[in-house]
Amino acid sequence: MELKASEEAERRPTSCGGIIRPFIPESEIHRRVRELSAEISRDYRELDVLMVGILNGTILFMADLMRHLDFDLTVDFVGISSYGDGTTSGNLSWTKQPGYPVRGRHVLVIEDILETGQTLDNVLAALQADDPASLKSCVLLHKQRPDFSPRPPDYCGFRIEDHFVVGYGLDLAGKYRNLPYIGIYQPASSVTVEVIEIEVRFWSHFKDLTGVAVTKLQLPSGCRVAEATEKILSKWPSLEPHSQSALVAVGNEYATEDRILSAGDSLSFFPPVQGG
Amino acid sequence: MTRDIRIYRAPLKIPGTPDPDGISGMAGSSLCFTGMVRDTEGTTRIEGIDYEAFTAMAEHQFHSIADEIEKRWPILSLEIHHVFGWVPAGGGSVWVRLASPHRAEGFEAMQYLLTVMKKRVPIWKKPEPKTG
Repeated sequence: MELKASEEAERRPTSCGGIIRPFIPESEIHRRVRELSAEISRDYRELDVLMVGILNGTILFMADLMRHLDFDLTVDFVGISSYGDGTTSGNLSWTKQPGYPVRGRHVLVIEDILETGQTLDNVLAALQADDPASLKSCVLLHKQRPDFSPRPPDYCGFRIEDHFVVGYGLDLAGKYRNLPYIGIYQPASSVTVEVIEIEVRFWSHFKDLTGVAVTKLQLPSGCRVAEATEKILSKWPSLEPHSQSALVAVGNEYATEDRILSAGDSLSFFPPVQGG
Repeated sequence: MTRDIRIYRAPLKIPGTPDPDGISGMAGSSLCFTGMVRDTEGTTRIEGIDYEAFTAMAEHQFHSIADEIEKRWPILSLEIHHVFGWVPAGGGSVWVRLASPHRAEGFEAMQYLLTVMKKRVPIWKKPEPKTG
């Protein structure tokens, strides 16, 4: 099945700048993995099967896939290095060699993402040399790139457009493999964050503590009162001891933490009131 | 309900006029309350209190409290005057007059107003200790 990136979903900031936008939700992955498992079970039942996952991106996919296979099989992993720092056999540099004999077995190679097809082709060629009874491939994602047209896999989870995908085993500089969903990474340069300016007013002894009655504060658009409060407390740490009892108003109304601020809003920050 | 809400610089000018026009004959009760500044704050003798008000929001909050009162009790008129600035001990800081057909709802509404005001209306006190 083919998926397009959703636009309105929540965004997760990353430690290397940019954001991760949810793409394929956990429930959709699980549904599709169960379908693949059923297909593979139907095709391989009664056979001597060796399932070989390519490290590290297939860890979650393998785990979910194999738990739904309802026949006996042998499971193995191989690691290959793109940098030539592992042990070599043929034109492949292994960081983890196959742990089981391939000869005479029905081998199914599992890969996280098919992009140029280079990795999978190399692994298939290396295993083919050891004379398996059959050799097929199963990929979680098949990225459609205009510049490459790899041999199509025998089993495919999702065909996707040309995005930088992370999560569910796939990494961004070694991280985010543990995300339960698949997201699209957008580097900071491609993310435009609109900035809004609000007015901040301090009252009563908050004015004395900050030395400020009225000031301006710049915030990312869509910012909530809670985030603005956090920013105010970090900018004027003398308020920190009073933060629990502080009251916040936007305009003339008391504001809740999740109230979204708009450009030009006037946010008042003050201690408990004492009229009368 | 007729309504007169004012926040202005001290001193408080307590109106000497009768209740607003139009309620005469309908009101069986007219309550007047004046909040005054004591000469002690806790155990400290004070000269008076310097009141600070976020005027626009304070007026807005008084109006929203008045809306709530209007829904709960059959009030005929409500006047609230609160001052900011310097109020010496013995001086008035707030004056409320509330007219209703019967005294029971008047007392209840007055009590509610004064209790809620102290929680919601953005006015703050800075007591000035007595020197010498």
